[in-house]
Amino acid sequence: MIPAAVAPSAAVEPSWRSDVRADAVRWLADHRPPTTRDELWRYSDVDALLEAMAADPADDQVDVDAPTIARLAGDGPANRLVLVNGRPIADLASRDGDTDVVEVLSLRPSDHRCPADSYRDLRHDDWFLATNRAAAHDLAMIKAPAGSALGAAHVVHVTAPAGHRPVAHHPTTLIRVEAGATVTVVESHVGLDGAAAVNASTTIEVGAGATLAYHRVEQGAAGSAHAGHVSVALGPDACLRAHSFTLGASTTRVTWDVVCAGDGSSVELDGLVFAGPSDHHDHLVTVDHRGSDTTSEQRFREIVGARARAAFTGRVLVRPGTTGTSAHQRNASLLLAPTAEADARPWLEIEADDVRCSHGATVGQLDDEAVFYLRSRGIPEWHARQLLIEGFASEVLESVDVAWLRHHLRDGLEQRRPAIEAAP
Amino acid sequence: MLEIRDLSVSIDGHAILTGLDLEIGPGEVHAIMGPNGAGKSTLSAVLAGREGYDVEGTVRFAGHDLLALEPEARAAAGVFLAFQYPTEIPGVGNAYFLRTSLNAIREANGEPPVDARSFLGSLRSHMEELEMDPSFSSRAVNAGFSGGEKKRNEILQMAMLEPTLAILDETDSGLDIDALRIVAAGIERLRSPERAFLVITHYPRLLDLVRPDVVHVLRGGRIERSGDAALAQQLEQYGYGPRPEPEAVGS
Repeated sequence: MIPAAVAPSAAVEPSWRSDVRADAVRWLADHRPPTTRDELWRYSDVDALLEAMAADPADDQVDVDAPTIARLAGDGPANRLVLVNGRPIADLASRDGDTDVVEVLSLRPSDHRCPADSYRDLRHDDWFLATNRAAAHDLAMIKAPAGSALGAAHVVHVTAPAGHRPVAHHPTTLIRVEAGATVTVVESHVGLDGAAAVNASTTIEVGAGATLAYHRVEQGAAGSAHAGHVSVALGPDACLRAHSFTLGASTTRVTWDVVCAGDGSSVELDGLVFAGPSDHHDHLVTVDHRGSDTTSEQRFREIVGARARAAFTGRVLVRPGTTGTSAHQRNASLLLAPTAEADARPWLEIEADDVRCSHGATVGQLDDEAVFYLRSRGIPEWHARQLLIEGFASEVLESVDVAWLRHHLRDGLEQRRPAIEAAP
Repeated sequence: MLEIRDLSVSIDGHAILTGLDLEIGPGEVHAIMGPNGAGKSTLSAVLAGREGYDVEGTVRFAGHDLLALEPEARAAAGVFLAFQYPTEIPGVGNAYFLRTSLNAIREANGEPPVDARSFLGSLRSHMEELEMDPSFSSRAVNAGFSGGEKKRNEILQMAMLEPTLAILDETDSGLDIDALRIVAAGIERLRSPERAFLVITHYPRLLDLVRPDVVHVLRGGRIERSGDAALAQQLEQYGYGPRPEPEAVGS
């Protein structure tokens, strides 16, 4: 099955790009979309995602102004690139003098530059990822040159349905951090109101001794569907400090695929998921420890509304022949009503001996004692609940070093208050 | 100011308070003592509005039918309960919590929000008086606080919120001598002709530092005896049982 969104581009493409497309189309012809019978998709609302993805491609030119972008995605010092329905909007791009060293550009389908081997050679094993590669328009590209420091880039992918027609959008981001560089990247997925499906792919390479602080923010329109795939390759002593926020769409599946390929590489991933009253969110994180002396930390928190469902699978692979692996994961779910549902699934495949590994999951409801304590201090019940939810989220939010993003995310959570009030 | 008439409280059919009467006037400090399980903490919880009790009787407070109000409305009307076991609120900063609380009470009373600068100034000076480290204003409410730090934090909240009726539920329990002195001084500073206190305690040593106007013995679900500050000393000497008759002494 090949989705409607996969349409051959009319543009004259360089061969590397048409090869990637043709390759993906071939793969899709040979493979069926996932179902919940596939173990990796067991907790996903695959049907809802696939149904939304069947919409026409989001290829309309839609005007979006700077205040709207600031409201949807936040605003702060960074080299910023804004793409609407996969097309860059030059007027909305900005550069920050202090972080000028980071390159942020949009590769048109006709662009002959081949951005990164990792993008060209990425192996397909995921139907949504293959669909993205078959259908992607511009590629948002971030490059931190070797040895550069203190760079910050912000890529904003806007999904803009025109009129009342549902659309499917396949935003693509490539991040390349060369040896010894240090860079901060914020990748925002936002949407204008209207029915939409977003199928996003991000490919990240972090070179030897380089450090990437990467923030993936899903704040799509209410009611939208979002499938996201992040593929990361870490070189020797490379370091990824990542955040994953799922705060907007109603149905999501976000897949993180991190390979600690180089010896001494490390990844720390904090996630925050907000599931409104009837939302369904599924997160799958895989860390593949292929090098020795590699470390990983996965920490996810889910806030789950009245009839919502949130799932987290933390997968850890430790390859034979490696030593000194340290892999830890922790999941905490806050259920806002007895009818909310959370699933936490640790999945460890350890094929080496010298491994320190731990996992833990907690599921709880708002503490009645704490609600009473706050109310006894004059704080109305809805506000007491809101404070406790904010408190639960703050452990993740406080770990975000980018101040403007932290404030934007706090505001975003605040705006979901009606969903929280609807919960009891 | 506070008028409790024929208050009966039970939980799951088990009677705890059975027809309790108590009246406290403005500026008065009343102490309630009594054996374990007499219902002292239940009384404070019912006054603050904790759910889960079957309550009969009337409680009037400053013109309000107190039992008809939600807990937050009782706070807005001027009731404050210092908890025996203050709850930990992870992820919510102490100063943020206090400002939210103060502004919620002000809003309920039709007052504008407190000015950030004067709020911080007043918070700082109260914390100094209670010998609390400045870091407690940014730490999460009660999270990881020691027993004594939690009790000081309760007194800090009381000082910031300026209630007209402060109920202290075993605020002295678990305090060492120095902490007890600091907490008692905090209570004494707040004594005023407009403010009443209901001090629930097991031990007379708090009452040496915070002199009550009236001492009550709560026993068998009601106020069994009342007297002046000297009653606390007698209780220390003879316990909660009936006072021995003079002729029985030495026999």
